[in-house]
Amino acid sequence: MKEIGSDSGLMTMQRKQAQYENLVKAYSSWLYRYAYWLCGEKATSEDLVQETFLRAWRFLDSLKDEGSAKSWLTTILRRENARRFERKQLQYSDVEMDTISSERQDFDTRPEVLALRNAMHKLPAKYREPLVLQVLEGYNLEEIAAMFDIPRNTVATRLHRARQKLRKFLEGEEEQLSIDELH
Amino acid sequence: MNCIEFRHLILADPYAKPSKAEAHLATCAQCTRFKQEILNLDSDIEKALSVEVPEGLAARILLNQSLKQTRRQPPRWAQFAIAASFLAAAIFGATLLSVQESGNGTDALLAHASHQSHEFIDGDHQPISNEDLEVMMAQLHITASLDNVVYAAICPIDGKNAVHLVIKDGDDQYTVMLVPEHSPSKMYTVDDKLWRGYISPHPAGALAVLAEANDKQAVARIREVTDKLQSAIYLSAEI
Repeated sequence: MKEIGSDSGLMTMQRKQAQYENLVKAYSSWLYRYAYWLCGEKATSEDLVQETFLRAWRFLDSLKDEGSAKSWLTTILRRENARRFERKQLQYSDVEMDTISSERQDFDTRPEVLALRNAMHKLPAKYREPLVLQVLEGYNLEEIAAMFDIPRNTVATRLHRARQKLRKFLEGEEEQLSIDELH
Repeated sequence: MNCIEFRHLILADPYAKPSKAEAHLATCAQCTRFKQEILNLDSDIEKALSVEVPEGLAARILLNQSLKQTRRQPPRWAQFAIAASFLAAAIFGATLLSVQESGNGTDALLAHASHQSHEFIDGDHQPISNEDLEVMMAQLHITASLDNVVYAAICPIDGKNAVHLVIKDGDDQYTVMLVPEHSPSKMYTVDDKLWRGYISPHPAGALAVLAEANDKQAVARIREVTDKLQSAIYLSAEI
């Protein structure tokens, strides 16, 4: 009986490991990109992704619906990022744009794309986050609302304002966001 | 739908195609141009958001996990606690079934309890932090502010994914289960040979709080603990 129990435990662990590897392969790139647009730093982005997957491993048994894995991981990453802020009391605006620019050399460097990148960095997180989810990954309003635990209409308002602000930035009408919008 | 409503919609979700918006689009050249502008903006945003993922990221994540994974056996008291807790899960499920007359699922519950006991014994267990609890419960859109959780899992009970916790409160220990979408009309008392406790209605479902019948001290405080848990567990949307 002991042998059978032991084999069963081993198989469970092997299944868990295989499931975990599939999740890492499928979603680590997406999570890294998302993390980068949350924190603006390459090293921190990788740390966030590492922490996210370590936490996911501990609770993988609780993931009953494979279809919800991506939004579950995204939610974990958002919370890890929020905890990072709590720990360091670091404001996103403390990250110098020069640092970001010098760190990143592997993206499209055309002036219009650079202007948009800068505009995205200036956008308050509450507007930037849903926009990244919608544009990069095609999440709809309901999915983003569920992930953020906020009403669908609030998501719609934030996305509406995000695009409005970006257009104004690009048109040079809004050089600097007011301080109360930054968090 | 007029132009203002259409533009509000497009700025929030340029990919949505409700029939009213499509009808407006067919008759308004300016809004057609506006939508194209927003789609172009999104296309540029997508290019701007492009970030090269560091080489070997997935391999480093897997390595990190394998280095940090410790296969610790839980202390003996925890093994007893969890074994007892799974029995409680079976009782809770059976009680729910009997209360709601929803058919015979008791065998499935017992099978689940047995299977999960194996997973617990073989698994990696540590005290559960609030952060970890938050992550686990997020799947069911439930949030909790609880201390001293020594076991937490999502378990299928009566066809629903339910929260299953073991909580220490001082020297006392309680098994807590929350089954979403179950709505008992009133509080039920569990008075079993092995277990005492309550199953009560909660905004997030049916909440069961159980103590071992022979643990007199825990049983004496079970109503107090139930009341405490009623307010410490809530639907995320209530925040």
